[in-house]
Amino acid sequence: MSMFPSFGQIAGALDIAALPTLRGRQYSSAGGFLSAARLATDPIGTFTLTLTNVVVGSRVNISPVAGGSPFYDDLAAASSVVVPLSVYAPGNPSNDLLIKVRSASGSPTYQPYETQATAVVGAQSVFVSQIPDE
Amino acid sequence: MTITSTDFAISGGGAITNVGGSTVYTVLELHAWLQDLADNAAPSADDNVSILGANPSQLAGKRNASRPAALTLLNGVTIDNAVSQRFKFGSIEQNSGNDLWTGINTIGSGLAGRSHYVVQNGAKYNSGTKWWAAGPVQALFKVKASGSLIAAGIVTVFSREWGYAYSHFDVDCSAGSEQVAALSVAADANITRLTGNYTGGTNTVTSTSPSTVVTLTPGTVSRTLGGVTKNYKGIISWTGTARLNEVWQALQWGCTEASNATLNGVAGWQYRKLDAAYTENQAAPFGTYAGGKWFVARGWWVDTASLNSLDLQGYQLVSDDGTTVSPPISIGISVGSMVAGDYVLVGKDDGAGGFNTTTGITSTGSASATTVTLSGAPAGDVPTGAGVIRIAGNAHSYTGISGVTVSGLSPAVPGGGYSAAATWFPYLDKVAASSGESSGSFIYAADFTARVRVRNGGGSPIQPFETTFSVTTAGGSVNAIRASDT
Repeated sequence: MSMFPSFGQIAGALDIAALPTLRGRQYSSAGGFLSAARLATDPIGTFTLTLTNVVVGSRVNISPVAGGSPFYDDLAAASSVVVPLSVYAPGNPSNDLLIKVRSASGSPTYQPYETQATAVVGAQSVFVSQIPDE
Repeated sequence: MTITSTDFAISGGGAITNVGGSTVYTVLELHAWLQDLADNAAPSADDNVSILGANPSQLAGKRNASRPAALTLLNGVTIDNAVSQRFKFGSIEQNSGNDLWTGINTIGSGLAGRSHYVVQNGAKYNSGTKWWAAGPVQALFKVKASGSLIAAGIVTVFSREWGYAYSHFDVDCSAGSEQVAALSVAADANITRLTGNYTGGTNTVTSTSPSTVVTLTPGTVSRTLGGVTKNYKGIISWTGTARLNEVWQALQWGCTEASNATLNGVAGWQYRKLDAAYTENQAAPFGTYAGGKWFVARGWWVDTASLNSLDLQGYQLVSDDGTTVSPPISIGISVGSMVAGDYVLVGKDDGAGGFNTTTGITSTGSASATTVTLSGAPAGDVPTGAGVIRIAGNAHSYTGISGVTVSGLSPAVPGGGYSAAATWFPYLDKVAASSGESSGSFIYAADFTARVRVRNGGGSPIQPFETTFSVTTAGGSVNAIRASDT
């Protein structure tokens, strides 16, 4: 009896059938080492974005610059808005963030404020300078 | 006022369209509405603007309801002409500045209740269909399309309502925002006919009452009036010897908003002047009628053959070169307080106590002839109808002068005839047949001093009466003082 488990024994233990057949998360047993390969869309960490100086009541929207569903959309309850976000592998367009802050429904109104940020593992603060529109 | 969701819709592509209502909002209110939508979490109903999309609009400067707003629609948000009619007090540009609607605000006296229309590039804006009410206009007009200004951004606001003096203003809308059109309108008492009295044609206006057709004949002509020969660039003529006020009214109608006449190549409702170099008369493009006199616009010649005999002095022209030309003024000289049998002699004073008999003109005629030939044309203020002439000291009356020919001499040329005989032209030279005598009519040329001499040494002898008096545009008259010489 071999001192090493067979491929079939390992495969059975890892439930390979539950993984995508062509691409995606995979385990490798090559050389007797086990590793996990993540998808490009899998987060690799967290990014805490803090917006400061936000006019209370403003709507804050954080979306990918490339477009798509927002990561965050809510009314600012305080002048500092802390938004936890995911960080993706370098080169993932989801790391490029478009930040919109708008307040034009009640007086005083403000001009739309837009800026961009790049998600990195860690934290970053963005000072929001909303200009009164009246 | 706040725009509601029932007023407009915004498509996913950004096109704003009318949905309902007719309220006209300010441009600032459009911006406020768009920005209000833009901070919503998601589009609502048919208004596809929210924070999920790009900024829909931007003002030049901050919001200020007391000044016109210059609004730029951004990121595909657009309006069309129909939507633009729902806004005022500012300007709207879109498509990266390639399209521009500019606001116009009319100001001035007498505008309340008056009709106004806007002309752009030779046509009535919106084919003449107005979306504004009578009175001062405050609305937006498209002046730039696809990156090009329309007619250099100029639009003209006209007020040409029948019964009122006309006014117009060229507005440069290229800069956007709101621009002012200054107009001045007042009732015109010289308009006495109803607008339905007229119909227009190509260079014609036909009046039903009085029945006349006024015709314009553009083209340079040389004409003489009152001894002044000038060029004119068109002729106004008419039928039926209509009075000048009627002719003027017909042409004024030809320029009114409702006119269907074409005058000098342009629609009557936008006719302004005969030549681009002339100064226009806004209130009356064919000239002002005031005090019973028509001050005809520059360049137009009034066909004297069309004139009513009561209007011979009822107009004034301005020639192509800008010279004011008036019709001749016919005047006469009269002497009163005489008795039949007095001899009266009136002529120009020589300034030295006598008559000015030096004319430089001589007469030549055969014995017994009733016609003599002058060596030159007489002065302009010599009667060309019936008058009197002194040839070699002899008094003759005549019936007319044409050129250098004096005809109808009485008495006829005496024996021996005249050969280059000294000649002058008294105004009166006869035995009075009654207490008053009048000269033949002549054309006023300039004021002068006349001398009168009345004598009677016969049946009712008087001391010789002699004095001078002035002859002006009103003519001249004097009463003799008959001091008895018995």
